[in-house]
Amino acid sequence: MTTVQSFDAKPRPAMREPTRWERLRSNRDWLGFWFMVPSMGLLTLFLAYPLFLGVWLSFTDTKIGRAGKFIGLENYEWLLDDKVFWLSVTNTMLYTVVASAAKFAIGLYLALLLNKHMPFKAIIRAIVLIPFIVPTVLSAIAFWWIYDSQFSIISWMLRKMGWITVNINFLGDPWNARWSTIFANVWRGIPFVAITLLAGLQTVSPSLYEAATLDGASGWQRFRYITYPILTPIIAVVMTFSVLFTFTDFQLIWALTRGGPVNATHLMATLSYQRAILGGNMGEGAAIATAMIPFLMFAVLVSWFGLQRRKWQQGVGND
Amino acid sequence: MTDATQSGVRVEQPSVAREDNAEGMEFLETFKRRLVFTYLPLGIIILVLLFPFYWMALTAVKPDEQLLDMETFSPFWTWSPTFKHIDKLLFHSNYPKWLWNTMYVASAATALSLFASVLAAYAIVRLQFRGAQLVGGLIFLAYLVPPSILFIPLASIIYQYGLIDSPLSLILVYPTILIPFATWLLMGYFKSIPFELEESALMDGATRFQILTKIVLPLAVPGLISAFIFCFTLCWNEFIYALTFISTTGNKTVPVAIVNEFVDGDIYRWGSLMAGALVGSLPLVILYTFFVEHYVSAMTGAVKE
Repeated sequence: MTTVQSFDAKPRPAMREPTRWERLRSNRDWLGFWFMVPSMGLLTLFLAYPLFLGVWLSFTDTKIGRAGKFIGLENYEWLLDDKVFWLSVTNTMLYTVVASAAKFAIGLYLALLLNKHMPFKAIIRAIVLIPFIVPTVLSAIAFWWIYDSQFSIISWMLRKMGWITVNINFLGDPWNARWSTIFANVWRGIPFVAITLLAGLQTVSPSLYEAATLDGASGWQRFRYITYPILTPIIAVVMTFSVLFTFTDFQLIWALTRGGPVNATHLMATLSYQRAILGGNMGEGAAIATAMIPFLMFAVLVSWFGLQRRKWQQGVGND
Repeated sequence: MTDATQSGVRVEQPSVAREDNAEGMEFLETFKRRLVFTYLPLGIIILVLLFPFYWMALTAVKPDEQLLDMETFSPFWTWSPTFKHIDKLLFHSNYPKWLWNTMYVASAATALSLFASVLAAYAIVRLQFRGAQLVGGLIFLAYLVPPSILFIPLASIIYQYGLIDSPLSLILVYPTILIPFATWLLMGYFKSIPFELEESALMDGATRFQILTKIVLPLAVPGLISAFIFCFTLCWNEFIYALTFISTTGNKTVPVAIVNEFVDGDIYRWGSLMAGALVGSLPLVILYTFFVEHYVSAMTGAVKE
């Protein structure tokens, strides 16, 4: 018996039909389903379901620790006559519009500055992002100290310069408090806008500017007819998110003023927290939160489509 | 296994910030002009952006008597720094416990979200099961639902599940903020991995799960780091859920504890308050300095998608 024979004797494995289980195991839809289970499970349980539950709660008189019953639109009727609610609505509008506009203007300006050639560029860019890294509440606490009524460093500086004689009451006066919180929000939001717009700016080819300059375009014209159109899609996305997060802001206000003085800085989010969690009226709080949804959709649609409309000029599909 | 259409998937560059190519015509500008129109405004903006942190750090190491007496001592500097506030914070308060809670919740929620997002992103981009586009769109929509309108119904759900006042509630709820973001970021990275690699692995008899763990994930490491850092920062920063769900002092996270526990009538509270804010920010700032590029690419990548 030779070795060759024993080698030949080994049978070759026959091709067999894949079993049902093997077919199923390689079926895309079946696999896809199981791959999606963890994310979809969490999102359904803690995002989609609460969203609907919130709308339902707003039609009930639920209190903390007591299940409510259906009372129709009573919560909303109550809110229509509620001066504090309307104050929070106008505050939210003012806060969103002013802060978003300022964030956009300063953020774009900062992005244009950072896009220039300069030494230590990477380090400067890293430094600019720091306000975005530090948790909002912790930087809000720093602002609280800066805005202190007695020991504010801003008041101290202005007094030394002789511009004011009495300390500014930053958070104690309604309008001062509004502007102070808006300033803190803008401060916190600028890095996000600037760095994302900078990433967009870096894709603009310098040869476009060179060609435009040769044709006699001024600096403003170069910005208006080259930079701005190319940036439009990314501006739309950035500002949509910026508006969204500003509109639903909670933590900055809560850390700085808790809605005070006398409800002057209440946003819809802080008011709903106060009514639902601190006041115990879950139904009423849920109605305020639900009332944010149409405003929110409107704000998102405006910033999305309003800024998006020039996209077709790019000539390429966005991805 | 593979459709003809799939092998034609466009190979995309991952959205890492690219090299600066904007030198352009700047040699035409004089130095004086640059000084006034570039460096001066840039300097002012950076000064304003950084001042609160300087003020926070300075206050944290200033002795109490210098803090409130701005006439005899210059408020902008101190020659006798003290570690009294930080010492009090770390050894005579609940602060280490809060720091640990925050770290624990952030790590667990981030790990859970990354696990779910990796599977979801891979399934949407590469398995392309029926309805994958729709599911991708739904996940993006989930990104637009803010916590401010969810915390009230969530509080009642968490209460019903008996999870109120437990860190587990935060670990389960935070992924709803993180998964949409992380999934979209990872989808971008997975798209950039050549499909041919997967094809040949499939030919060699690898299962989908093996392909994911042995081929796709090792190639998507930069994306995973970006997603991890961003998710971790978001968790650390989260406030409204932690404020609503957690009531026991010992279970609180740093942001909530600082706002609620430090605010007593004490006029000398500023030192320890600022020390608390400083120590609470440091872990993130340290993490950030090591991974700046990943951070920037996470931020811009999510927006570009």
